[in-house]
Amino acid sequence: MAGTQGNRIAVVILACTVFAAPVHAYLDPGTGSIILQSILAGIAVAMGVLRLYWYRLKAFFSGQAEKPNVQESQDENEV
Amino acid sequence: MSQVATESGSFRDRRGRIFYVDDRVLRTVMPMATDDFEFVRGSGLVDELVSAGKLVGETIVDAALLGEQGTGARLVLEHPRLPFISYPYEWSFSALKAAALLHLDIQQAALKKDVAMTDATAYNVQFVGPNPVFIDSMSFRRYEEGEYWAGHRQFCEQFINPLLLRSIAGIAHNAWYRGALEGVSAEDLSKVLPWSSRLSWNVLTNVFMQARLQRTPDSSHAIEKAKARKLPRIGYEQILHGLRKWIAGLEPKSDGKTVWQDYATDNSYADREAVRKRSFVADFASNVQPDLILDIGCNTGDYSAAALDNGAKLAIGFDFDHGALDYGFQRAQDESLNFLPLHLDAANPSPDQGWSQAERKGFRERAKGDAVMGLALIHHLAIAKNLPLTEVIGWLVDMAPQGVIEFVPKNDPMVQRLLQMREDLFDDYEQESFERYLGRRARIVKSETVSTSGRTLYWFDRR
Repeated sequence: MAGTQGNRIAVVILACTVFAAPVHAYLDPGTGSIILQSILAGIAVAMGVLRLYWYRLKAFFSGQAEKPNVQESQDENEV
Repeated sequence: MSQVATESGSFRDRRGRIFYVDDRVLRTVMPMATDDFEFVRGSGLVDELVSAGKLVGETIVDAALLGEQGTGARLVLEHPRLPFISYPYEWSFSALKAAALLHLDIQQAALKKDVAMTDATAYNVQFVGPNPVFIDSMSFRRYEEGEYWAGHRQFCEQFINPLLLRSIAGIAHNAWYRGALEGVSAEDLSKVLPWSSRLSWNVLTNVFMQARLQRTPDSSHAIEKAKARKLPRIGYEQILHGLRKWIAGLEPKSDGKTVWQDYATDNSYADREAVRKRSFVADFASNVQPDLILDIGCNTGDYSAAALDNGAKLAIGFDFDHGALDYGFQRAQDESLNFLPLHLDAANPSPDQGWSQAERKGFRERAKGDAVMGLALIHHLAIAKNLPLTEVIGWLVDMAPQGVIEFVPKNDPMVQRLLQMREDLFDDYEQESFERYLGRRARIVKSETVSTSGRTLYWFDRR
């Protein structure tokens, strides 16, 4: 009986270890942060590309060679 | 050989550590950090930041200064000693914001030189007057193309989330931050912020999405995928740029003017009283010429300014009113005053805490000045907080060999206001006892009654 009890405790401890959230080690960037950064970067780059095409389209119809201001197009991405 | 003391808060990064030898601040650079050290110094980043006043300076010194502690170190650096160390849970909203912007400015400058930062802890920022300065010159390493910003989550927890707490929910970060030294987690903050805050793209992503992603139980697959994708440099730059622009626009949630801020402008101190107090402080400061004056109950810093104008070199102010602190901080920056206002609940000052209760030092150990001021203060402690008058005086006198304390009598309108709703249990709260208690601890150099109600300033000297 004592053995079963011991096994049960061991299983619980093992389960806790396996499913524990990542610890704040020096320096664990955090899963959420990494996934978020890849999403944010993806969106930022996609918006930049879209904006470039948008300016080209505008330039095409207005007949002017407009060049987007890089800094400005960055700013507009952060709504 | 001089005594070598280890800085008990500097243990996380094994690439180096801080030591004190007498009054000198020394840092070891361990062999594992050599490549990064040389690359970063070679990039010119350190020189650029130091000359801009954004990074504390460094010089290479003889490793023998550290004795045994220096063995194994590749190099030993010396940094100038900062006159006062403060922590993010003592900073005002404006100070925390200034520190956050400094961190991002440094990261942006670093990335241009192919340098990344190992962490984003707010404890790596200190203040020289109201100006933030980065103190960990070993936080830099070579940037590797495609790497993620390792400190992003830490930056959110230690800078952004505490700022949002005040900016959106109107809750000052100080008490929470002091309780949770690593800052405010996205998970916790997401439970506090109103649903409508999701309408902000930055809040939605950095708080709510991050909290949600952090909770995802089976994220190992996703993380592998994300890691494999790499973070393009332009994406890294965009994230930093976006955060900087966002944070620069954050302001405390408006809750109307606070009581203390009214003091500085209109107020129940008559103007003549303020003029007399200022001239008393000016006389004191020009006689004492303190390198560091502590201004307990500084409000927006009027009397710190008077001391600084008359020979004090640095004033560290303390107050519990967040509005007054923000106002004082802004004023110090605008008027280039060497003044830093910090948050303090005098009845419960910052304790020794963190690892081994030695990582972050308590107020008592740090609050040692050449002079101290306690103006319009003691009634708030002795009456509003029920602290024994003699202990309040002792607490102030302990902070510096000389100082100015104001006695505010019971018939003063401010004291009357404090007593309005409660029983007057304060038998010994009167001028004669005040003088007796102060006289036990120090010599009274000079005193002057500055108001019709009988408010009196005392200049003490306990040497």
